[in-house]
Amino acid sequence: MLLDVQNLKAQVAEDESKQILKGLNLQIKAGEVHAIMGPNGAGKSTLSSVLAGREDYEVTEGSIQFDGEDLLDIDAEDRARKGVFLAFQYPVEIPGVSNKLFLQTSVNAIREERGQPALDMFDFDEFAQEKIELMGMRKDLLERSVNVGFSGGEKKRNDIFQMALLEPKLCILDETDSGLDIDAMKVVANGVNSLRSDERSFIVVTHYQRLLDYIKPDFVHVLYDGQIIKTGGFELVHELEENGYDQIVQAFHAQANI
Amino acid sequence: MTTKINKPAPKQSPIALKAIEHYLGVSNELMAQEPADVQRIRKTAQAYLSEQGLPTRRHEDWQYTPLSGWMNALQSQKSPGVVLANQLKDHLPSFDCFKLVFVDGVFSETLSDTLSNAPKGCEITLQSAPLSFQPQDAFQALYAMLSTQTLSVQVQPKAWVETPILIAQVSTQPGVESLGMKVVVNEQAQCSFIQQHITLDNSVQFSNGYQQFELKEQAQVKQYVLQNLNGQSFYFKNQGVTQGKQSDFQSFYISLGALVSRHMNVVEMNAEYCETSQNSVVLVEGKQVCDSRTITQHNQPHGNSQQLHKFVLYQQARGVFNGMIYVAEDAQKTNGLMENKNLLLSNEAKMDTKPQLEIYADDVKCAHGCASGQIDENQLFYCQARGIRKADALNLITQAFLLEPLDLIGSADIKKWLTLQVNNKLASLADVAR
Repeated sequence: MLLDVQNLKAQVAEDESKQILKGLNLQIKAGEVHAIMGPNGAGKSTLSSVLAGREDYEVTEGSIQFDGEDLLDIDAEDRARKGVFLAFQYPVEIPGVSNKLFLQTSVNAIREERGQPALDMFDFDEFAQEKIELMGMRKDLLERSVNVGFSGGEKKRNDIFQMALLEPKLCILDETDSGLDIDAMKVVANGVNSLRSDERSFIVVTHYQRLLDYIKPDFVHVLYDGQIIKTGGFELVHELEENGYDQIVQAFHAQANI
Repeated sequence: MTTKINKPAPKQSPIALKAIEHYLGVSNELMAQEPADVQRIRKTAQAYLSEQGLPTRRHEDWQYTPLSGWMNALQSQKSPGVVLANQLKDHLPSFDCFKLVFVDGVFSETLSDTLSNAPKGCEITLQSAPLSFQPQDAFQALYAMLSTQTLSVQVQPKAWVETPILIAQVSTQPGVESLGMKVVVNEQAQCSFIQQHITLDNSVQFSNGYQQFELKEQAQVKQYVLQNLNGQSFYFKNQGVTQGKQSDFQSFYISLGALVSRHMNVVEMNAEYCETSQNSVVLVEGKQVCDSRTITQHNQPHGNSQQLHKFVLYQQARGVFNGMIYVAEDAQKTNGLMENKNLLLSNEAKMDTKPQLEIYADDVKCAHGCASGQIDENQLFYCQARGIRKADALNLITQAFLLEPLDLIGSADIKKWLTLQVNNKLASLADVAR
């Protein structure tokens, strides 16, 4: 088991009234692709943030085991070093910091964790150029400031590009597809598909079926009101597309009331 | 330039009166041995200080520059100490410069390059009299009362001086340092100046400089001031620049040291098509106060002025920026841009900023902006989510923020060297950031 989330409860930090995750369970084996769908406000982005270690949220109950370690004891930077990667819903701009410096620092942080030697400027350049082509990024990407002046689609592609560089064990895509046009979406999907392997798992958080048509997840979960209320295979995507969440939500409430 | 009408002296505190009396005494001691023309300059300045007194917090331009520490640390003239060339090796740039070294305020022949070997087209001379002018504030008056050394640089018409002229002021003991500088760059000539302020010990300096730059038609001057005095010292500099037609003046003030520092640059763009660039990189900590000011006077049409002043404040440090762009009625088609951006890395840090525009022409483009903020938590988390340690992320973001003005430097050597100086101080502060 790569990721084992048990009875996870989380709230906005220092605000007990804002409980968002209410006893979430999720098990992911190495090599699996899981999609998480759900209506607005269900807690999808909170789950991504909590897994990545954002301090805006506080875990009040439950556990997260990642690769045999208790993830909740570990800082965000160490989670990244151990192989958790979050592709942001809104990738952040860092003016003045070049992609080259940012990514080289990041790649070498993770190489340090793996006991690999740091890449110097030339080795890094060579390593990065291959992936730049793979992701169809602009050639001057490395010279530009991190995400500054990027379109929404470019920012998200940049995050997937980073994922390709860092070769994580668990990739979390937090609504990476929202706001993308069809061409950008294909690039993202191709990026994800090219990274799929027996050792690497994915959590794809999304509103829509489109990205999933390209990625074909192994499991689909419906997240509602802080819990996973239904799990199925890829066919669940189309069921949701046709019928929406209402039926599943009603069925969940009916069962809860028994 | 608008002439200032001297306001009656505000009531002086006992420590201010004591400071005035002290420096009048130091000045009188100097004067005893000096020729009549020098005495005249000193007496004019003494009269100004006696009448006007020292600025108090009630004086608008001095509201944010605390002077009580300086008033309590009265300094005297000093005799030069001994400095060996290898003591300076780590401080001075390693690229080729024409070196002029002043030790404790006195020109050092042994540490400097020979004046007669100055770069082609440059004439460099030293005088023991201060520059003669009508003081406009107390520290200009103090300069004229106390300065014993003036450096004059004349650049011949059409001379392109490629080797930067390095003026290093090194101190080894407490006391007054008051160097004057007069630079005339003639038609179509180009020259660059690196000015360094270095303390080799921990004693209190009262560094009070006054300098004039005169740029003739199509002259180009680049100036880099690196102020890295020890944390007990006081730094004041008054600089005036006059520009001829199509001349280009570019200045960088890098402020890392001193307990209280105040750097003032007044540029008069007195002919058409002048270009002016004024920039600050300020990195202060602890109880340091750094004040950087500019007055940019567009007096004729088609002038272009740009400014970027960046401050990073750690702990209880305080930053002050005051910038005025003045556009005269005749100065149509003026382009003026003034930006001040500040990063406060502690809840106790404080920034006072006052960008001002005064425009009398009707066809101009002028903009000023200032923004002060704390580190962006989203940027921090983005770095952390990529495996970068929080402390490293903080350093990365701060460094990128602070070094932006240095991107405007054309010389790769100078840019690299100044970047290194700033980064060294940043690295030393990594532990106090949070």
